[in-house]
Amino acid sequence: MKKYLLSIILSVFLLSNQSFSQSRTFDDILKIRERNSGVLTENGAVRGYYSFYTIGKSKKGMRTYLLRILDENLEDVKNLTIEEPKSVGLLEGSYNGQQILLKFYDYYKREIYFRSYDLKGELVNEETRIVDNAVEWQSYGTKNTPGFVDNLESVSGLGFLDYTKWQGSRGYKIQMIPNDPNQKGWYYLSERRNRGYDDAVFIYANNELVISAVSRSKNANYNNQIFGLQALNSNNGDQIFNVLLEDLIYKYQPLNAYFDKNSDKILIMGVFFERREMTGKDNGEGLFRMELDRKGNILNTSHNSWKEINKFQPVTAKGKTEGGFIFFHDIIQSEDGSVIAVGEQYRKAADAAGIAVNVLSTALGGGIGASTTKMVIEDMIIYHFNPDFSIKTVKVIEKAKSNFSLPYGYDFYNVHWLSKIVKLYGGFDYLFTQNIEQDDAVSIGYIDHIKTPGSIYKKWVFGASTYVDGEFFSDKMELKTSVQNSVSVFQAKPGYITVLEHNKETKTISIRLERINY
Amino acid sequence: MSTIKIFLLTTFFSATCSFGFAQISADYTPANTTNPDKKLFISRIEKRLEKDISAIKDEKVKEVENLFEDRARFLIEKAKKDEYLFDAPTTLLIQSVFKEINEKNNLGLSELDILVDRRPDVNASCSGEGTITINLGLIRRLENESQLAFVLAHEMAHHLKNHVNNKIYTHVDQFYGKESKEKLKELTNQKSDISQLERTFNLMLDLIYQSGGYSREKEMEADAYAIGLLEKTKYNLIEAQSFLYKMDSADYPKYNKESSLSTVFDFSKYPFKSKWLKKPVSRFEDDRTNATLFNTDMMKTHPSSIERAAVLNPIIASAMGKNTSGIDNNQVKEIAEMADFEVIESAIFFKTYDVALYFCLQQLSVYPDNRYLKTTIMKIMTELYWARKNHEFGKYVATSVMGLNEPLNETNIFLNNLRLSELGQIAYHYINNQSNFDTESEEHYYYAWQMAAMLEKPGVEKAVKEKYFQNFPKGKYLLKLKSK
Repeated sequence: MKKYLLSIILSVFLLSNQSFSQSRTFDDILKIRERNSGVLTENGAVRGYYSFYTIGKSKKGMRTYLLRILDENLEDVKNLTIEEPKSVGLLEGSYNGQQILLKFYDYYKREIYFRSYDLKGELVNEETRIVDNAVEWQSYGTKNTPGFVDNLESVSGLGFLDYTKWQGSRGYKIQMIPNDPNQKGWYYLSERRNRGYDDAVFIYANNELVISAVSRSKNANYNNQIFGLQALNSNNGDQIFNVLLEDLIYKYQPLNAYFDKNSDKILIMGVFFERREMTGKDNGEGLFRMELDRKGNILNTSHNSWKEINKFQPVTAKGKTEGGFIFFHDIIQSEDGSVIAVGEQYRKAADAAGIAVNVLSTALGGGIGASTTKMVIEDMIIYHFNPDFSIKTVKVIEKAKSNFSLPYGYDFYNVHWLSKIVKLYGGFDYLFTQNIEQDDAVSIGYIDHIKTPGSIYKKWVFGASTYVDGEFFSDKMELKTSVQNSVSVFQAKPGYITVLEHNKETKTISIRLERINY
Repeated sequence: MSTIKIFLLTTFFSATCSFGFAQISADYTPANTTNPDKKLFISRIEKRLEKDISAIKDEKVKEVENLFEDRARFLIEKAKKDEYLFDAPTTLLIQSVFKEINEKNNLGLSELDILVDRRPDVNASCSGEGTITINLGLIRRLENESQLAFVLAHEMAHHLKNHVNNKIYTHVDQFYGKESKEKLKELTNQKSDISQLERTFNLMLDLIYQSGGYSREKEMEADAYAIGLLEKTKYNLIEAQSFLYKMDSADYPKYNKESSLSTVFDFSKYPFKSKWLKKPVSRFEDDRTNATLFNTDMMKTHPSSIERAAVLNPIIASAMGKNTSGIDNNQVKEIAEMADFEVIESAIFFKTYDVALYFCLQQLSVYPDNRYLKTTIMKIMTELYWARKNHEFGKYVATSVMGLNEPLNETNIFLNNLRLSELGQIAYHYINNQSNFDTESEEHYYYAWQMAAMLEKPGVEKAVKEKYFQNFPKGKYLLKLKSK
């Protein structure tokens, strides 16, 4: 729900700074309504913000929208008005260092269109395609729902990539929208299949390669997948290689990858499983790091088993953090070559509130029930590896348990699959991993909900763990400062957080950027 | 302002006069910011508001009344927040200049409130209801009394010509008038390729640009009228032009055009790092003139200073050769010096600590041994460390001051670039530096103690505390130090 909250709050702020609010004259004529807001990211780093409002009716069925683009300091880059059908929404935005790409959808026409703007906010390119795939369409939600879509990726110097489904959900499609309007983009379609499901997740791209983690599953519950690494030519979409990530003993699920120009090698990291293990049910055997050449040949693989890793795990007040499952949010390499993997514990549990609703619903003669299962989110775990991938330390960030009630009908899904639902709805406490170039630092942000003795309210605390100069620094910030003054925190440009204060007494909302302390 | 009011103010200030000018190179004592007659000032605004409202003849009484009330509220709020400065020498000088213009021209202005606004930008304003303000930022740029007279005469001209109130009426006519309503109605019903909203915006832009043009014209008129007022006074008209030329360079620092951060914050035990000044790369273009829906340049109400100065040429030429020997410019120089220091206090008051540090460094380049400047830098750095630790740094330092002068921009970048630990170390080393620490200043002991405590240096904390108790047995920080 945090994703929703950001959208709503950001829009309130942006709206309060409308350029034309100088005149009260037109207030009753122009009804301003926020549709979508979000952050413009470049390789995961926040570089700006966008917001899309309906500001007026025009011809029949048409609306005038205000598209607002702000830089990383929340200062205006461009405000422009565009006229579109009323069924249009803005799905997501991306930034690649040269251009901003916005992905719009027209719910009635079932069309997706991309618009790219240069850094002065001038329209550079426009491209439209029909959505003929029901699964893709459903993923965009209804016209009033800010899409929980995260398919747009940037390729510096070249353009943008859009990852979508095709052939029902049996295959995937990768489309390149180039920066240069005179250049024709390309798209790649996965092999047509009658059985099973193929999927692709963006991993890394440069002006030579587009690397995706691909997976194949026999059925739609994704309990047992095999994984591969696919590289496409960034310039024409031709497949360079598609290598199965398994050997005689293990299969490997990649979570992150880099292309090291100096060594001319592809480096991938992730979780490894025994071949017989169910990737959708088991926790795997540990973490791996693998090197491949640009032809897709596996050069070497390093393993770190959970058994080995757990030896480094500190004993916390709650005892040793073992058992349960770990959702890996990110694995990244810091400037000193060491590797940091960020995980968060979760488990499935009975939801007393959901059960009560169902009992009541049955007693009243049936009707809409609730899920009787919830997900319990627990500690953050940071695994730190030496450059040779030997384990250096395991850091457990203790935090209070938080519950995520599942939507109705989700009781029988496996716990791994449910963790993806939690991630999709922003239910984890993890907020971000930032690479702070200026200080050669890596910062991990999260939220903690501390129950204060004697109070019915939980205290929200923003926490950050920052790796810099060879050590981890922790930073904490209490978010609810008083009954009248509530504070929220969101990801901002590298090294910063966005702090939003809502003063109920003065009815004011203020937003500012704050440095993460280390 | 009535003679009685001036007399009362003079008496009050003479009695409580600050000793700001004593040895300004060695130390500075901030000026008085408490309005001695705040309540009276507010009641005068309220009375003038009543008078203005009763005199409204326009058919759109409510709209005009609202704007008059907004204006009064704005001035009252500023007074309540102590945003005006009441420094005796400055007030007295301004009053004497006002008196000269008023009496020599037989203007009979008795109800004007002339105040010093604490804002650092180079500006002055006439509210139209009887209040004229001159910003501290403008005062620090004055070179002589004739320039001050021109600024004051210009604002008095706006008042005498009723420019502001006329503008309010024009604004109401434009935005709420029959013609605009009809145009808007027409637009709403129109069927064309461009959207209704776009058409509405076009109308709005027309109105705004028209109103901007109107202001430009009135500025020129006020300049010419001001020269007319000054002709009968002792002031040198040529200074009106020299001031306008000076205004053109107001965006540049008054003193040191280069930043001195790398020398002031370079310590043998904690050397300055060049990466602290590294500009963050914004992914977007710096030119934001078209960032908003309106072209901001078109909305500027003042024509350029050079343009204004050129227009005055023939008027001034006719008044050349005037005897201006009776003017004592030392007083203006003194108040400009005071304003140089006072903008630091104002920047702290307005919670813009990056601006305060920038002004401190500017002043330090002129007065390298000034104790006030060193103490203020200690205060700024200590408080910023505390703010950063509590995630409130953004309340005191903007994330970006894009578009402002280079040393100020650099000061802002420097403060934003520092990590918490670096900010703490710099503050600590600045205080614990022989050339900065004054053993006779209890503030210096206080900041040294605060930084040692925040950086968890118990040995230093204890030693500083003991020394303070010994040197200042009746010191003002005694209770604070004893409580911890």
